[in-house]
Amino acid sequence: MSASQKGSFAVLLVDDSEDDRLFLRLALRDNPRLVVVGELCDGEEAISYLSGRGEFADREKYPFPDVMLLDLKMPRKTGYDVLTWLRAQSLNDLVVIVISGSFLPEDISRSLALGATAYHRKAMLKEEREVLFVEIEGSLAMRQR
Amino acid sequence: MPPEQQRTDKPGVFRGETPSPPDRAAILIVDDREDKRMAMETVVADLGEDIVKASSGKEALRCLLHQEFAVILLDVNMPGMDGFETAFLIRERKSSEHTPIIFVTAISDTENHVSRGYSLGAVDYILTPVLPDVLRTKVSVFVELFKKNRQLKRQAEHLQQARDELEIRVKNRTSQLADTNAALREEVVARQQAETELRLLNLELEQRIFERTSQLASSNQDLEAFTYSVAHDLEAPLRQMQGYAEIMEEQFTPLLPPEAVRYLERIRRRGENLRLMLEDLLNLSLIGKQELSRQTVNLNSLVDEVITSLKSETGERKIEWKAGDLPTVACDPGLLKLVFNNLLSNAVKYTRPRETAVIEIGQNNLGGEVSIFVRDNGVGLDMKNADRLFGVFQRLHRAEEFEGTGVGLAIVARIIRKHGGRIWADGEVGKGATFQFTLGNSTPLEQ
Repeated sequence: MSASQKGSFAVLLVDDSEDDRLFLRLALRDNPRLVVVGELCDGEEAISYLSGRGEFADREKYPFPDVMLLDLKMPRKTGYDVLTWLRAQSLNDLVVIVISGSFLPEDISRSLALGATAYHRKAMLKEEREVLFVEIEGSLAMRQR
Repeated sequence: MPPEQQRTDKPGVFRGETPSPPDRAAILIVDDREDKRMAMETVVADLGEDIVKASSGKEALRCLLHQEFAVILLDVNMPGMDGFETAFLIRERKSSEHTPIIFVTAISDTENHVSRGYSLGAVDYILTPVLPDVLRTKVSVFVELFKKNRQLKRQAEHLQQARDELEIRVKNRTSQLADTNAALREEVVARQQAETELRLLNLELEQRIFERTSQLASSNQDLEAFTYSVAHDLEAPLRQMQGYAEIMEEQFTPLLPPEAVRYLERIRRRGENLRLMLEDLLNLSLIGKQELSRQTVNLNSLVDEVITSLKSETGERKIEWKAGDLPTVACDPGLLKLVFNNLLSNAVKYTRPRETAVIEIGQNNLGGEVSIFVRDNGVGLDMKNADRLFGVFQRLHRAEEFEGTGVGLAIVARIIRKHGGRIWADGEVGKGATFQFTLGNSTPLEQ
């Protein structure tokens, strides 16, 4: 929790799309309180990162995040696989916001049922700055209570 | 004595159930002597029966050829063929073998005659000179016996006749039954055949239903996969292209010639159009899958909500809203709100050229069925294209005139159909349009 003590939050981006990671990074750049500490391409990497396996054991270099932005449709392990894995861990402090282009009701309800803190539909940059920031900050505020 | 007189003497006979003519019995008197014949006739005549007289055995036999007798009074002593010979010949004949014979003989000969007579089948004897009472009594006994026999015979004949008739009737009935049975059997066979055919048809139908169902299931799966693919895979590159256009506009506008900036903006806008179309397509397919959740809904408050939200988007435009009295119905409120939202936004959109738009919402009674209508004074529609209105991506105007994806009315139609209702449009170019729909059986349960 070193990041939050400094008044900022560590954000982990998990998305197989390089484009979407770029957009998110650009959007997050405009919020100094949100610091991207890592960018991962699939669910398996996310699980390795969160459990501090292998090279991710170095928490100086790979700090444990406050927020994970998690895409759903990814190769190897999907966002659902990560959510399922997370349920078995006791990482209650971690805010997991599912980010997806889909607005299918089953995607939304399944994500929330598997324990995601929020579901966010990917949008344009301007909108992300308005909506995603509010969602992240809101979820963090809820966690601190 | 004439027979008629005889009968009047015996009214009992006359009163008998049937006046069967040969009710009288016949008595044969055989004697060669006229006086003896006369004497016996006189005695026997009192019995009221027919009397036939023969003067010789030959004549007697002749009489027996034509007639049946209750009893024969046979003189023993006759010239030529005597009584015994005659009796022998009488017995020889089948028709008279049982006819009772009373021998008439003189006392002097009795011993001898009696034994011989009995051996020849005589049943009785009368001694001469004849005692009238004895003769009458004996004869009457045989007459009575004869009559009884005859009656029995007739009864037997009747019985036989009845039995024959019965047999015929039974036979007829049996053949009728046999016919009926045959017909029934045929019917059974026909029915069995029909049943077999029906079973085959059912099997065929089941097979076809099964095939159709699996086809539907597989096309449902395809549709599901397609929907998923649209939501996840088609959406992404489109959004990303727009994203880059957005970044270019945001970060590089000062470096670009104005023409390039305009093109960038166009790229972003067209992308936005495509995105909306994809979203509407997805919505359309989601509505198809969604289960109706019917609730009692007051359509007036639903319409008021929609109007309120539309008012915030219409800005300076002059729009006269006329919401009439609407019914309370059992429907899916979310979906019905979507219906009104689409229909009223369309009305707002297509009245844009009017200085004052008039949008009217009300109900009609179509022969017991309530319909809801939305009428506007907008640009109207050409009825030639009315059937295309509710199709997907069917647009009757150029995108430059009126924006939209061409999916809205398809969504509306799908929702109405899901409720079991119908939707149709009326209008004329330049004279406004009316959209009207029913909701099937949507009477609210409690009101």
